[in-house]
Amino acid sequence: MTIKSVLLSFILLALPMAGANAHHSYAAYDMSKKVMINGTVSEIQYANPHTWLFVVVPAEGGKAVTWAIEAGGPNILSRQGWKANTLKAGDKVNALIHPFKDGIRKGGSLEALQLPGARTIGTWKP
Amino acid sequence: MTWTAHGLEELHFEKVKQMKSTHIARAAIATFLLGAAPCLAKAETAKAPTAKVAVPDISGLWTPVGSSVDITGGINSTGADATPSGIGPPFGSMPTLKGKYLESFQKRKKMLEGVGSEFKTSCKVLGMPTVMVGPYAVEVMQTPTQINWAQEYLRETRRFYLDGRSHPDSEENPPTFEGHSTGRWEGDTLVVETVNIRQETTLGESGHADDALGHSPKLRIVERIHLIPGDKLQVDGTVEDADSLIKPWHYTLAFSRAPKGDEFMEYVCEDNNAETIDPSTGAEITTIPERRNITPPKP
Repeated sequence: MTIKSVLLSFILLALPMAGANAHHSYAAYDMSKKVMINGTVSEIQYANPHTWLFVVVPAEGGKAVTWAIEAGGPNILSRQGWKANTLKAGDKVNALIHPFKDGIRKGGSLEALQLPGARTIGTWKP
Repeated sequence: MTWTAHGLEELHFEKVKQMKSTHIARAAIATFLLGAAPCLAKAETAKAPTAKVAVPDISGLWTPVGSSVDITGGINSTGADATPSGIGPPFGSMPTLKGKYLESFQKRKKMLEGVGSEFKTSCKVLGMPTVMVGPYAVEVMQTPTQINWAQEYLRETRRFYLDGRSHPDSEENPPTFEGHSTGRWEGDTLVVETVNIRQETTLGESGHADDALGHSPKLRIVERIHLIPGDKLQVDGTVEDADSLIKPWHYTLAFSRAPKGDEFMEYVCEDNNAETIDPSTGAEITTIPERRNITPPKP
């Protein structure tokens, strides 16, 4: 185990944390890029320390792609109106995400989410 | 071995005398003799013969101003929408370190910059003073003789003893992350002094010092906590450490009262569902189906 690998693991594992002076590490994500995802919810992990939302997007003439989207924990989201039962599999959602840097994995960190028939969590600025 | 990392934040103090027998302590004793419930502390304190003024009631749920849980402040956050660089030091100011403590800080900074991050944390509690810039809600429980300050993040709780006790002998008692805090009311201001803090905690940073050179054993933090207009709570910190600081370090933090009905929520770091890389093998061990068995990108 090298120091570099240990450090890399910390970085890749960095969990978001917002303080009075928000400091986050999203080294795995390209925070300068935004991708809009329009699809159908296939799974929700509404859990500590991070919520994961899986959205299936049909690909043109091909296989559907599932995007894994990371958001804050229930302590953040429930206060914003996204409760444990707010989303269910089959719901259509629009998500604005910062994609993974590596470009291999389909996923990202959630910038904003338009909930069906409800408010938008985060700031929707594509 | 599985590592998890978290965002980090940072913190500050001032000097107070050791608490002796105060009006509040006597009032507290009177309160208990009367069999009054602790929640009536404020009223009972006012009635107690030796008390001159009622102390403010700072109990309740508070959220760091501008944080992802600051609903009162109109924040609308997904909890994953921040920019990587942040917006400045977690405490708003940085201490002026010296000697081996400065070298330790610079070494940490360089290592983190080398891998493109500003912090490294684990599920280890933040400790003082970092817990004061913990990112989530704070629950304050107040009685005449003790006030508890609980940060939702990692469920970390500080205890301020207001019964007049002294700090325990630091030769007999090992240092702790939260240190030992005694407090007293000076008018409408709660003055808290904290000492005997583990040297892994850092000053002005979000994470820990793995080399235990975050500060010296002389670290002493004095906080002046008071209500301010707009139903907010302000913490003015002064940090003294003759061995690690060129001069005392000051910081100011503010908290908004959470909306009525909002409750302290459980945030469990150990219940990790985040992307996880085994540092010994480099293999991804995750519960996220889409991300299993994918070779992590080369650094």
